[in-house]
Amino acid sequence: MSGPEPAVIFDDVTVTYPGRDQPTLRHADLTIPEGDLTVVVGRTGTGKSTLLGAINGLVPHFSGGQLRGAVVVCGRDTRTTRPRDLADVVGFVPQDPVSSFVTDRVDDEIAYGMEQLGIEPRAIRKRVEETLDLLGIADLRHRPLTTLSGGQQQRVAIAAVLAGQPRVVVLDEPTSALDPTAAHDVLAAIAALVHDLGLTVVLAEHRLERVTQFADRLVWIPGDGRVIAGSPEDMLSATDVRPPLVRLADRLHWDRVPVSVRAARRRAQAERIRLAPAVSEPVGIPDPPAAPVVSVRGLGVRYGQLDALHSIDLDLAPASVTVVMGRNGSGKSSLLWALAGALPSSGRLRVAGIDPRDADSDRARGLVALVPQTASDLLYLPSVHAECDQADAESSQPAGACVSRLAELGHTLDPRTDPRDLSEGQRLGLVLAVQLTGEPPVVLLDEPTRGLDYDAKDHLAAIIRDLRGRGHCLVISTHDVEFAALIGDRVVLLAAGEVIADGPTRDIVTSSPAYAPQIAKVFHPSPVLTPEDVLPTCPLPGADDGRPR
Amino acid sequence: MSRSVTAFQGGHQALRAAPGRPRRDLHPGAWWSWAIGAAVVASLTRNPLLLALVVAALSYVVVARRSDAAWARSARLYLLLAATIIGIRLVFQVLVGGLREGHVLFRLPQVDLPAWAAGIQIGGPVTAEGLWFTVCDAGRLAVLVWCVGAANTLANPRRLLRTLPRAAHRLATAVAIAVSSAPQLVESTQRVTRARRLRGGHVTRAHAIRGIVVPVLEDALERSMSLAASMESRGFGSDHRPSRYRSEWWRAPESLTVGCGAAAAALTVWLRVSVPAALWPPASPISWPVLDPAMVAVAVLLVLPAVIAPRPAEDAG
Amino acid sequence: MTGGPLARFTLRSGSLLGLTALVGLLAFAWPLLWPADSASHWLAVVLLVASVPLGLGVVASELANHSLDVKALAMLGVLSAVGAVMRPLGAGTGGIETVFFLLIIAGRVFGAGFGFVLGTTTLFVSALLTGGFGVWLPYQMLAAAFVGFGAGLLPRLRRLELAALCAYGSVAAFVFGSLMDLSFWPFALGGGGGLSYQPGARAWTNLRRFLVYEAVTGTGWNLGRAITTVVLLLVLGRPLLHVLRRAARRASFATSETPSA
Repeated sequence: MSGPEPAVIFDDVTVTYPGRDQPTLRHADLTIPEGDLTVVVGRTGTGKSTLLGAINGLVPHFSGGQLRGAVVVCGRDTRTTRPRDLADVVGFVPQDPVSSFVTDRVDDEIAYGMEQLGIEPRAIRKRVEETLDLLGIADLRHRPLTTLSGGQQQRVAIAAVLAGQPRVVVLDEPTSALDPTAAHDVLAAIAALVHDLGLTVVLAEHRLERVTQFADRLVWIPGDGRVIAGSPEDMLSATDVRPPLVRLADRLHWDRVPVSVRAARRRAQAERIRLAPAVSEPVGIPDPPAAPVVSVRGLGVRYGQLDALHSIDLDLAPASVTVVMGRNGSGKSSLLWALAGALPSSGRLRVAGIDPRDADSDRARGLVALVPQTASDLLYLPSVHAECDQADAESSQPAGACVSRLAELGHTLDPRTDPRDLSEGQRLGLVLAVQLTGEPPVVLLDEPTRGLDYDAKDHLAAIIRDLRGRGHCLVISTHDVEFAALIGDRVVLLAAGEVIADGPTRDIVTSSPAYAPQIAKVFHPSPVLTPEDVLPTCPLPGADDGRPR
Repeated sequence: MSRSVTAFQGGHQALRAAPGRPRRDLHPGAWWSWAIGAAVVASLTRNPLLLALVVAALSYVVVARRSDAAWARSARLYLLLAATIIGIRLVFQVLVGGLREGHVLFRLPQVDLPAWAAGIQIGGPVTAEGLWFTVCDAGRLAVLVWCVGAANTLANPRRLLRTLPRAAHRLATAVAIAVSSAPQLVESTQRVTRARRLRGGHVTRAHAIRGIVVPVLEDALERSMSLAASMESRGFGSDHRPSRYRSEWWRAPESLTVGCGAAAAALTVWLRVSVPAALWPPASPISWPVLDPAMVAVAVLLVLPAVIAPRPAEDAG
Repeated sequence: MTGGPLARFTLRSGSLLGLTALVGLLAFAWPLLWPADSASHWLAVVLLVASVPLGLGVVASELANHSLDVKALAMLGVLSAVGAVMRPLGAGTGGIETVFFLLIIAGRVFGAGFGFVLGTTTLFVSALLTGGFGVWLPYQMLAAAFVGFGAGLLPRLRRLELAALCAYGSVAAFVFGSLMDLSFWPFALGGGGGLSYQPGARAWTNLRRFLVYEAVTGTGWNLGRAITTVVLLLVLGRPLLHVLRRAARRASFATSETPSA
């Protein structure tokens, strides 16, 4: 690796947290060259955040624990320099921008870091303006932070660290809360900074499919304490993190993993690739379900002056999975909450023949289960055991019903654990078990994939399929197009509170530029959704592997 | 008075139309100094006419120069508090009042408490002089409350925070965090309250309260930790002396506003010395209060900031 | 760290605290000490009341500057917001009953120093958010600061912890309710009445008059304050102690200042 001095050097770094017997990072060596965009991948809990935090000294100065070896950033050793004294060289953008805001106005927030560094007020004013322009948010200058959209908030958070003119910027999952369009915009802005300013960027990202095309290097943390770095092409085939393009390359026995949709499309066009028969079958407009379990006519939700939803008509069949998609603020959550009868709404709503708005909350629990976006809002007791007992009582079920639901969902949790100490996936499982204790025919999940890694998402997909197999009607709102493609029978697309498209998943997502999964983009205009829709190359001679998807 | 207000309105509109006058919040210290001047006026008099003039002047400035921010909506509460003070004082005057001479309006049955209970007399005659004196005297306190209310309504408290001395930087940071967290807390409370309904009704009231407070507090504490990490990595507490991006301006309107308050107070002190009877009419017998031309001048001085001060900035920062 | 004090007093901040407590007590009890019948006496009272927030600010700044790290500051800010948001939920005129229990629990978990600072900032933030600046604010801040402070000084009682907090909460409600009423007494009634303050009378005479006044007019409010505090402690005490202690453990305040190598 010739060229400029490395921006960050990890030299034989071992990090151990108190109360853990295994170190989170073990003898890790890593060099991050100046001006590179490095993407850190790995499953939840493997140490991504530890690696990122170690770059600006938050680990161990802030997090506690012990760090052996050395991390050197732009010539400064983090053992002897605290994070606040690295602020002029490393900027750190945490996962949730809202919880990192210290002030309440855009320009104040951007100025905050410079104020701490004692920069002269006139210089601050100049840099605030420059930074606003750099991220294209100059018109938001005086806006209160709470009035911004998720994508705007993320840009402000990035601007707030960029204004200090650091040489390295570390971002922890900058797109996890964004819809696909906003996520793309933010990532493109970051890539532009790397190109234009020569900034060194290190970012962690769950949805690898979004970032591989921008990355110069991938760092993989397998989970055993090792840290492995390399070029995206090499690393993609080595990691256990499997974005759709990797699975496609596997299935087609390509020697190299394409890093972008464009690269994959070129290669796919060059080869003759056959599609699974299911794909080419024409899908007609499905008949309305004969006996819908949910029936909605003219449903509307208003918040003051704002029409969050209006004149929604829907019929949902038992044993089906419906995915609701749309931009942030398009009314997805409102729809789910209205279906659960937990939000004042107008129009006709029937779940199994009953209006859940009129039913008392016990009866409603027996009809519809909703897992809200912030699942932990439902948890308030100090242990898993106490939550399960409470759920049994709430659903008038015999003791142990919730625990056995939890086991069916594939979670074996220590009953004494504080629910707050669970991983995102485990917590989601617990809330799902609590909500399913009453065996409701309709299950609504609001953004369930947020913060889940590929494994946890696969697990969730299996649970959803199992619930569908047992006759439940599921409605899932998500930004995650890949997940939607994986599990959805039907997609309902919302915009500004109205249904703008409704039909089989394959029809809807393959025809939408914003909501098309990667594989659909590769094979556009063929309605291909997942790598499984493509017949594997080199099949055994004569065996026409027409696997249903 | 009415003529001078009309004249000011004319000037006021002319100024509003003037293009070169940017909106900005007056320094909070200026509003508070002006209000203290008005409070000095109110504390020096029991003349109901002057008290009414002070209330009118303050109210006009409040209407002309308050913003849409949350603290500016407290004006009504202060008016309510002022009215309550007068009401309570009247009730006490009727029940255990001290002034019982003069024209008796009606009589309440009288009870004398024993000496160990300080020999208090309950009930007895209620007089017009007693009630009128109470209204004037409590009115003075009510006007003082309204002075505080006017300052609270007009001054932007977040700017006050920025004028704190450097030694209080860390404490001011904690307060700033609190101010920016409060709306998020309200939002998170609404979210959790809504989510509570999803878990059915087989719960006691205590469980229901816990079900809201515990997740909200957990959320808030989690936020405090990521906030701390963000502050630490942005240089908070480093050896640099923190600078201020938006420093508070003190310009001519600030000085003029303070000057108006001070002049009104000084004029009232002069009145108190030269014509004490006009400011402090006797409780008994009841007489029509004197209106001295200088009192109108005091009111004019107090209403001037409605024109002097620029209109408040539109955002709530 | 499991319940050890977060902000430790030094000799300097401790003596400043003592001075503030003294000035505060004088400010509360001024009707008994000064015959407020002349301009110079009034000026003395005004200066006394004005020096209360100054003293509170200096002590709180001293603690914040020297013994609260950035995590504790962020925790302080967020908990102040919680208190300030809860405060308007209390309907009483005293208005602090929904805040006392939070200060008691926080003072108990994080120690007397943190309780003191939290009391000060909570009431200040509440005034910032609602436009509540006025003569009453120093008194309210003082009351809240010492409620939090006192909760941190309670002895370690394992099984009786909640009972002790409830007892403390109800006593605090009465003590501070009465002190607040005492400081406002001369204004509440005006001169001359049977329950009224008599400027120039002996302290003992005024105290007796005040006690009757307080018994007649204040008992209801004080009882309301005590009851809401105890009920909130009984309902939320245990879970909140659990939540805050867990947060304190996870934040590892103690280790954060020492770099490990």
